[in-house]
Order: sequence, then structure tokens, then C-alpha cells
Amino acid sequence: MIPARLAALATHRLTRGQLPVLAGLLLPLFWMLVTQGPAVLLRLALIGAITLGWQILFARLRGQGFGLEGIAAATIVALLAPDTAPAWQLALGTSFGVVIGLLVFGGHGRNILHPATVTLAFLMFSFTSEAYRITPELPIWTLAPAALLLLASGQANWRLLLGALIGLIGLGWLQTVPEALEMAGTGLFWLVLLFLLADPVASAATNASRLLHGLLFGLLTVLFLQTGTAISTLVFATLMAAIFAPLLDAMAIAVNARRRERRHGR
Amino acid sequence: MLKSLHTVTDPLLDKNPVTVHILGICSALAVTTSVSTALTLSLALIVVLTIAAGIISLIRHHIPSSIRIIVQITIIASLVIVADQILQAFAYAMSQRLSVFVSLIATNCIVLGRTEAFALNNRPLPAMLDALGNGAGYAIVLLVVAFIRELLGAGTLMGFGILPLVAEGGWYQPMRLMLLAPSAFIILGLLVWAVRSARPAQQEPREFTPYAPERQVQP
Repeated sequence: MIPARLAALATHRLTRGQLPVLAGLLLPLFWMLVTQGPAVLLRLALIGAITLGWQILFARLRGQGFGLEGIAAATIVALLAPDTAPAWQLALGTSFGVVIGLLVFGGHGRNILHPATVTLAFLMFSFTSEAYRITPELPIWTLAPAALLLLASGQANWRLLLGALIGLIGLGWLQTVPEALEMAGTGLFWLVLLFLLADPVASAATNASRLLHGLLFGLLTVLFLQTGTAISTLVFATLMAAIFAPLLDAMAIAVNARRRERRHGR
Repeated sequence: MLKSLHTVTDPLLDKNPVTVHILGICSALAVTTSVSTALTLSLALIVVLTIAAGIISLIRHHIPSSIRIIVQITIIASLVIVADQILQAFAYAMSQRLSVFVSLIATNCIVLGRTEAFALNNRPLPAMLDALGNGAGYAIVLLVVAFIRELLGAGTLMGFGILPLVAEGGWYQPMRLMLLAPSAFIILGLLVWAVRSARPAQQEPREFTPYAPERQVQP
């Protein structure tokens, strides 16, 4: 079905499975460009240049290769960072996110958190100005191609998305938080869900723990939403859930090992 | 002369108690939101450590080995109380800002570590020089961390404005993260990374090889 040449390109060493991610980000980027003007491209250029600079430096120092994952992370940060943020704040946040979130671990595939999550959490934790409380306006339809591309290519697992929706809507309904239900219909929520939470490197790795990881994210989102703004809620819920992902993996593996042991009468 | 000089200078970088042995982290985290508190606590620790090392070294032949920890802690705690009382008498505002951390010098691992490992086995002068060096090594790390945290977190140094704040019409927006405890861990981690990159001899060997079980046939 998929032409062999396209398959070869998608799995190439340089692209490392980032083609669906970048393709999915095109429409939200285009929407931001139309509604906000060219400032978003300027932001993307700055953040992208800093990311690339650090990646090249680490590639030279440590001999570790890099692909397009830095540009993907830079695009997500450029979309979610406020347009009034000074350049030095973005530069500092990006440097922190890329180095501490990605490169110290040895590059893409070895990191435990998504570098864009780390960058955004750093910026929102550090700077208290109003700008970081403004929710970027993204219609939900701009994320439709991304959802299709990521689900079809296996970049985003449906169990994570299902768990997140159950957690969000379930606890939102139980605690009667109307914002939680509204959030499920915003483009921002789906952007964070598809690109940051369901990132295959930063999310849980077994089917059972993927469901739990999504569920944890949904529950945390509802809890945080009662005290914070939409964007900071989503970023910190993603950060928290991703930190617990390896634990959920270990639990799922332990349960599986126990079950198999019992099957053999031990 | 040269040897005793090394006793003082080695703990500054090559055998730094904080970056090499990761000791004294608790106070390095708590008092480094401003340079002035870090400086005061460092000075208090240097004085307490140096005098304690001298006293313990003087009576080292008379301390029974079985109760040596009790004796050391008693001497250290008495000196800490004196330091705390002096601070309360002459710098009350500063002692309020440092709250319990001056009294917690008694539990600082660097103090007991140096008296136990060095002062108990050496003559008073080398023991005091070693204590001075280790105290200074601790002070350097504290001051570096406090410098970064106060400058980025409040835009000031020793209370004087350095970076023009947004609230006062400038361009610098203080980083709240720098005033919270996690930033001390992050800066300390980056500092250890930098020192160990510059001095690869400080890098620790792997403590164990990863567990690699025999591949089993699926049941």
C-alpha cells in the first residue's frame, strides 16, 4: 500500500519516524500563521536554531547522531509559547529543555521526557507573567490530520488517548468540573495529547501501562485544572504522567511475569 | 610547607566535599537563595569545623574509640551553639533568615566526616588546615550556587540590584524557579557535571554491570 520509497524515507536514520509528527504539525502551524501573523515563524526560527546548535554541539562532543526530533520539539514549543515572551526567555528555556530533557541522556530514544514538555514546564515554572497564562487558540479540526497520521503510523498509541479521555471525562464528570469536559474539545488538548503525552519515547511501553499512563494524565489534568490555567495544567500533567510512565511499565511487566509463573504452577 | 599547602588547596576542587563526595547537600539547597545567607553559613561552618578539628586533634589520644562519635558530636554541637548565639547577638536579622540552618551545622556530614576521618589521626595544625580547606571548598560551592540563584531569581547580588527588573521598568523578569529548591539541585548537578568533565579523574567507575539474564525460551 505504502510505496517502498516513502517507507524507506520514513524509517531513514535522519528522519527517525519524525515525518508523521512534522506533517501533523503543519496544519496547526499554518493556522497560527494565519491568525497570529509571521511572529510564530520567527519564534520557530529562534527555537529551532538553538535546538539545532545544541544538537550539533553534542553530536561533535559525544559522537551521538541526531535527526529531526529537535525540529519537531521546537515547532511544538513555538506553537505553545506566548507571542509576547522575550527572546532570551525562549532561548534559556529551549537550552534547558533540549540539554536536560534530551541530550544528557544520550539523544532521542534514550530520554525519559519529551524535550518540549521540559522546555514548557521550565518556562511556566520560572516566569510568572500573564503571557504564560494565555491559552493558545487552536480549533480542534486543525489536529485531525495529525491524529490520523500519528495513529496510522504508530507514533501515538490509541490506548493512551483512550485512557486520557476516560480519566479526563470520568473524573471531570464525577467532580463536576465543566472545564474538563470543555477541554476535551479544544485543539490545545489534542496537541498536547498527541505530540507530548503519546510520544513513543516519553510514554509507557506496554499496552496495559499505556492505558494507565493515559488514565493518570487525565486524572491529573482534572485535578490541576481546578487551580490552574489550561496550558499550565496540560504541561504539568504531561510532565507528571511521563515521570511515572517507567513505574507503570515496571508494574505491568511484573504482573505479566507473575501471571506467566502461575500458569506454570509455581 | 608545600604539603600543608596541599592540605588546604586540595579540598577546593580536586577533593571538594560537595562536588566529589556529595556531602552537605541539605544546607547547600536551603540557604543558597541569596549570597549573603550562603556567605554567613559558610563562615559559620568554617569557624566551627576548624576549631572542632583543632580540639578533637588535641585530645585524640585520650578519646576512647568506643565513644569517639559521642565526644566529637558534643564538641561540635557546643561550638555550633556558640556560633548560633554570637549570630543572634550581633546579627539578629541574619540569624532569623538562616533559621535552623546554623544549628544544623552540627549534623552537617562534612564536619563529622573531617573530624572522624582526619582530625582523629593527625596533629592539630594539619587537622585545622584540612578543616579550613574543606570548609572553604564547601563555601565555594555554596557561593557559586547562591550567586546563580540570587542573580537569576531576584536580579540582585548581596541585596544590590544588578539586573533591571520588569516591575521597576527594566527588562529582566525574575525566574521564580531559581528561588525554589529544585533549582539548587539542578545547578548543583550541572556544577558536578562541569567539574567532572574538566577533571575526569573524579568520575566514578560503574558500581555494577547491568543485569543480563540468560535468554529463556518462551513457555
